Amino acid sequence: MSSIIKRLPVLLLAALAAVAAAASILGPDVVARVTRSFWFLVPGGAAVLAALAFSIYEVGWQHRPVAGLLAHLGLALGLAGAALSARSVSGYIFLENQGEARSAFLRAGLDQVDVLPEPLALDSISVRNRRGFRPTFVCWVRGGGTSAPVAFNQPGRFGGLRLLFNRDVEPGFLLEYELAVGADEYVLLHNQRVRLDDGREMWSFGYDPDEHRVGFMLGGREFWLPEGATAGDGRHQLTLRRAWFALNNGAVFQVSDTRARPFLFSGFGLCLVGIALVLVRRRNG
Amino acid sequence: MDSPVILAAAFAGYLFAGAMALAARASHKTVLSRLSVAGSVLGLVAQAAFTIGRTASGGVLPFASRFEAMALLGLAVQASGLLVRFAWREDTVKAITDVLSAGLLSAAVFGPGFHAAGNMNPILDSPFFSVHILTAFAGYGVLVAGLAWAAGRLVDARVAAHQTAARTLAWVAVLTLGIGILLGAFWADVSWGRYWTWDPKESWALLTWVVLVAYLHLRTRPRRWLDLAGFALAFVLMLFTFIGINMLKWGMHKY
Repeated sequence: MSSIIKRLPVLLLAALAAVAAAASILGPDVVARVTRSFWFLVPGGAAVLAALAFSIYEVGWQHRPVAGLLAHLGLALGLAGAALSARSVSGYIFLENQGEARSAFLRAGLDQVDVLPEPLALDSISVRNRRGFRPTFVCWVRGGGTSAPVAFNQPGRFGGLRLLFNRDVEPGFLLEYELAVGADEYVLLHNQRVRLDDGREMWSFGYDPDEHRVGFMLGGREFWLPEGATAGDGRHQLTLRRAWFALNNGAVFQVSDTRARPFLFSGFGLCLVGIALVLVRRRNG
Repeated sequence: MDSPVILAAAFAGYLFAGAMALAARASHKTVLSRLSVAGSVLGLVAQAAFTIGRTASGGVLPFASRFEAMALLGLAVQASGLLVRFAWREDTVKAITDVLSAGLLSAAVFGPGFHAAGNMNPILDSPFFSVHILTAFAGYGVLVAGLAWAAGRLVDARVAAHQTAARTLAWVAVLTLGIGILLGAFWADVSWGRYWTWDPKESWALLTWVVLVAYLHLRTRPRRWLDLAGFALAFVLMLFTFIGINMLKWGMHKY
């Protein structure tokens, strides 16, 4: 087989990496659109499969050293782990200090609410001071009969999900609200997106607990509604029936299902072990 | 111990080492080559003392700001050049890395500028911070040494005699940069719950890595111009990863 064809997969991967790098200059939305597109994922997957097939062929039939096989197998395993991770659930939850336990969290796509395996509550928030660093928060989170500290770089594990500290929030955070859109009625979390019957998205982007007002975005327009008020455009009328705000401070946490991560990290780790073996071989050779 | 005077001593050591390496290359005198090594060692000891002193005064490893990162890159390039000197007994490449590391130290002081240590973002309070940065910068250093080697081959027949050295350096750079990227992803996963966000730094670091891997796949036998082109392209990408992304409007790796 010609050497150029054998090397095409790595050139294709380099081209895709160049496209992603160029897109990253233009901003998070552009790079997300590019890297999740069919034209990025399918050639990337094909290149990895081709590289894997070539390496198995080289080792199995051409009796080449095993280091290359390890590197390519590791790469394939890591990317399989990445594909599984991309399908796993992740999202955000707000917990109020000394507030009620909450069992629903908003998915990362902001369009769907999931139920936690067990309700979580925030028992306390304290400030940690370490020399050389600005102060940070440590949250004690309770769930499933246990209580664990959650902070930056210190995740907690509850019912198979991992909880990460994202940011602290002042009292008055918008917990949830009841909204009527025409004849439809919704109970929504803050930031949760709803696609209306004309295809437009509507979501709460801000809140004002003192005035009991919620800011909505609908079709590129902002609406600020106090409880009981109605506003809208020619196509939809929004009525904020009721809104619940947190009485105490609290924190936003990221919720992640990380069960596929070991495949991902062990795969890429194996790839690097293969590369290290190549170096050892070169030294001995 | 974290005074700029200590850093100036490191700068003087690197500059002296470079001058001695150039003299050794011209005169073929072993004593000059050894003086060059001694200058490098003294410079590295001075910069290590500066780093330790800064860690002691700030309470945290000093790898976070632009000044600290540029100084660390100088140290990585110097250490890589010294290792290349020990591995292949070659002064031409060491002279290039000596001058580059001295230039990086002066750029750190006169560009971003010296500042007091500490007051860092608490997200950086992680054991992964130091190993991620150190392995990534080790990769940068080896990459620069590889470029110096590829350039040195064009002008020095003795460098050209070691035909596989460029490829070995590229493999070391791929390994160290790969470890740096993987540790960074692991740290991000532990801290943010997302191991990869296609942030500009991540994307350009990955591109640097893939370009080096592609170079290694394409280079089946020694070719001087391909070595130079591969390392030069990876070096330009590395520079953008290191400096260029700070000019963009978004990204969590900006400093």
